Amino acid sequence: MSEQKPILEVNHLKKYFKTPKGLLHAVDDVSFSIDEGRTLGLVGESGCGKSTTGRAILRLIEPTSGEVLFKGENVLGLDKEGMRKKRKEMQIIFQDPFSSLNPRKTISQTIAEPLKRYNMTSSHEETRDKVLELMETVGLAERLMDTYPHELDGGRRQRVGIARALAMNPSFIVCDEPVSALDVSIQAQILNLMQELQDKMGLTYLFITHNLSVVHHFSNDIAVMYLGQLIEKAPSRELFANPVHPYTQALLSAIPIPKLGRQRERILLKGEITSPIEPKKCCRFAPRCIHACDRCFNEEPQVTDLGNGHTVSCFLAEK
Amino acid sequence: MSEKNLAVEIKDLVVEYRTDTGVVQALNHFELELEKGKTLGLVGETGAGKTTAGLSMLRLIPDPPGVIVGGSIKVDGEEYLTKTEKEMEHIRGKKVSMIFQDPMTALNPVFTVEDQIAESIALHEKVSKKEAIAKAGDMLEAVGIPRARGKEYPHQFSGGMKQRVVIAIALACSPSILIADEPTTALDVTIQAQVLEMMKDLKKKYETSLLLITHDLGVVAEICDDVSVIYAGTVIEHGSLEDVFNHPRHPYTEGLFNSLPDLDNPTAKLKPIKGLMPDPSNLPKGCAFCPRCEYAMPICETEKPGKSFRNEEHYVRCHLYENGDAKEGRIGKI
Amino acid sequence: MAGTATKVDQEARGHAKKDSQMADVWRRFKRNKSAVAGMIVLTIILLLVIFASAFYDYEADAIQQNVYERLKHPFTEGHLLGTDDLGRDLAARLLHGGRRSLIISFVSVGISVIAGSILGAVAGYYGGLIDNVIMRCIDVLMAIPMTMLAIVIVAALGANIPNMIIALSISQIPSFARVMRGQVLTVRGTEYIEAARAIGTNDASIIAEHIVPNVLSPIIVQVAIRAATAITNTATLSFLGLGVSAPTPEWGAMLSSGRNYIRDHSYLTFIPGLAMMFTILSLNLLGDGLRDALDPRLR
Repeated sequence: MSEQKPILEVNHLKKYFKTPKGLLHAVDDVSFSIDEGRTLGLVGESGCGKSTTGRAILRLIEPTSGEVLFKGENVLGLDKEGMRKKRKEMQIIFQDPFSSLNPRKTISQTIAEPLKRYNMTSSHEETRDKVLELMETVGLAERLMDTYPHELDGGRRQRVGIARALAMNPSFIVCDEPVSALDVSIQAQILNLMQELQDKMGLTYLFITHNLSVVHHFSNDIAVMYLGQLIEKAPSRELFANPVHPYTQALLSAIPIPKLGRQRERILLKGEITSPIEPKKCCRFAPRCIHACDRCFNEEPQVTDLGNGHTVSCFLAEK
Repeated sequence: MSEKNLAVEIKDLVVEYRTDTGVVQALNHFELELEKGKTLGLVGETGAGKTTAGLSMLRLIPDPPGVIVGGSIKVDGEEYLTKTEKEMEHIRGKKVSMIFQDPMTALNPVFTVEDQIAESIALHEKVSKKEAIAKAGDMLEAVGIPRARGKEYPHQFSGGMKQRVVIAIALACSPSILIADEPTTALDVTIQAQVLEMMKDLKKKYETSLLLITHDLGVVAEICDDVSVIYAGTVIEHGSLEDVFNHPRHPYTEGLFNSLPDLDNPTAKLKPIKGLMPDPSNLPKGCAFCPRCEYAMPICETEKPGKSFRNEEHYVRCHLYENGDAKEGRIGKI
Repeated sequence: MAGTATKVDQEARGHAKKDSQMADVWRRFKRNKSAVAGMIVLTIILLLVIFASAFYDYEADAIQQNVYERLKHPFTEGHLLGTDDLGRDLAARLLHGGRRSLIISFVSVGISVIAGSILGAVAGYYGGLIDNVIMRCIDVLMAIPMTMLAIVIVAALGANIPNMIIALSISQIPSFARVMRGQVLTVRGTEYIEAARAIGTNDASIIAEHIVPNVLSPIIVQVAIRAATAITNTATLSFLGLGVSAPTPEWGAMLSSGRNYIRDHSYLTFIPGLAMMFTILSLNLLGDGLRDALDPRLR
């Protein structure tokens, strides 16, 4: 593969929230990078900090510390105006197409808003044409221009959200569970649309999801998060063929497969996710891990590079 | 052929929601057969009428606007549509139980978990408070929660644990039929796997017939014996798990499978079903799937398709198979 | 050529849509019969009150005492609603008095809705220390009973209409601030606000374009309900002698002076009371109707 410069580099990103019970480590020392035009899938279960990571990168939530290099520039160091300019290039698509659109604005008003914010068009007509062009790009009929979000179904609303994100010609988009609220037949439509847009516009995606079959289909690389930490990262095929971290293994084995005769040996995890508030310095998965030994409860595993872009944080891999 | 031992038999059920803006046809001549001790998966998308079907079995359709227009719902041979509200109250929770998608809102936050299970026992069985609490403890253990945690309140439980409690409540009076409406949709995959595994065990233990309402074909493959696919209020395909998964006949069923990413072949492009669900207050005159169907023929626009049987159980409602092609598969497809 | 044609077409449709948006609100409003009734009654009351001088001369009919004509029952010759204990025409006093009652309540509600909403919106949007400071002040204000606050203000500044407006405005600010803050808090957490921030919208535009339109309906209902209570409160203050002073007519003051004759001349209290009741009722109905009509989700 040719040497590519990563468009986004996240280094030691941390976001702690203050709670009455102590510091909640929502994102704890997460580092990764994404090459231009590629998709990184960020998977994990609810509460693992994947959405917070996405929002912290865009500074919709101010990170506690760390570095987010976008095209070589540290986004976290930018002032208000600098950040505003940067937002043109970094966009986000939200999970819930029902709450991510202002119910009092028509579809065209919603899509036109970013154009207005950055004075990207000079006249009403130009705005209108640009909105129509965007609507066509995402497959929305022209007659829907003046409808309100509540008149549309989930799939169409999600298309509006995508059009809004595309309005400023971004090069990088955080997709926060963009299809998990949609029905399967609609989900496939939206995934295909996003893929086409990526091919056409060379977009880079950070694809946040809990749906492993979708992420396998959609991403070049996959990073698995558990309790605020990135525990394993590998190219999609490699991760599915050869998961190393016991959590990844359990996660993959839990995917319900819509095919018969595929009853795999399922690794049932014991217990539930532990609290992310003031976690001890140890492997956070240890209490649920079948391979856990004393070391796991006393030491924090470091990142081990297995080659081919496969990294994992687990003592098992060190041997 | 031996007489089927049916726990539930629904025939020709028509349910409408009548509002100011029009009449929504939630179920159109809906039919369903659930065999004793088996699990039937009712698969469909948002708005297909899955939940309405579940609720109408318990006669819990919100009225107004919901109206059961006609048909019959027989549970163990007893007709439910002619029962009085009083009789239905004895049935709900005792004979037929239902669990809902969202475990977060299904429990009352001000009572202990144990009390909530005991309450449903005391409602249907003549037992003392003490016995009810003891039985509630047994139920908790049955769903894999230590008895001692029964003294805790719902907010002290995680989502997966709450869903276990909800299941414990539903099974407390050992109902013969359990309706589960998307029981694992709100849960994470690893927790979903735990809960599904548990439901499988409990079903065996309590000899319950289970109607699983879901949109997730993966879950269906995991736990069901038979599958009914519902589209716009009508069952368009029904068969055993093997029939439907390995020999899907209806273009919609086929489309559903094609819409899912294939784990064995992740780079394959998804083939979504084009278009959207029809407006339920203005359904097409012929086959409801016709506007989205790749194989639509002139007859599909005007006439509702009848059943074509592939074998004794597996049937499909599609004009493509009306000339007895159901066994071989569609001619045009090859 | 074709390009311009479509542009014109689009323009035309653009305008048509603007109109129809208002038309939509009107269509939804019209469907609500009680709201329409409320609006009609309120309009009639307002018209009567605004054009009071056209029917009755203020000095001659509402102020001038006439001992020979005192305590005439309604429908007596020349006096539609009768006369009061000082022989003044009750209908004249009712209309001219309504003017004061309504001006005082509407102006005070106007002031408090603006002040209260701004305070509430700022508190809700920024949160943290700002929220704490504002809301604790509001709490202090709420802890003082309205009448007591008004008595203190009127006692300190003197009993006249502007002071009464000040007193009423201050006492109503907390309720608007609280409603606004609660609404802003809910809306602020939604993803479309996050989306707006993600496309670089600044705080002022987010509040003005995304938050305010979405919190408007409860505020409008609150305005209608508060305007109604303000009428009662105005009357209360006047009744206690803290509002408008003697010969000046005002509904509360009329009630107050009429109560001495309630046994034989109950109409003296009954009629101003009825006027207040109708105004308040129609305001409430109108408020409810507007809330429903302004929400595009309810069709």
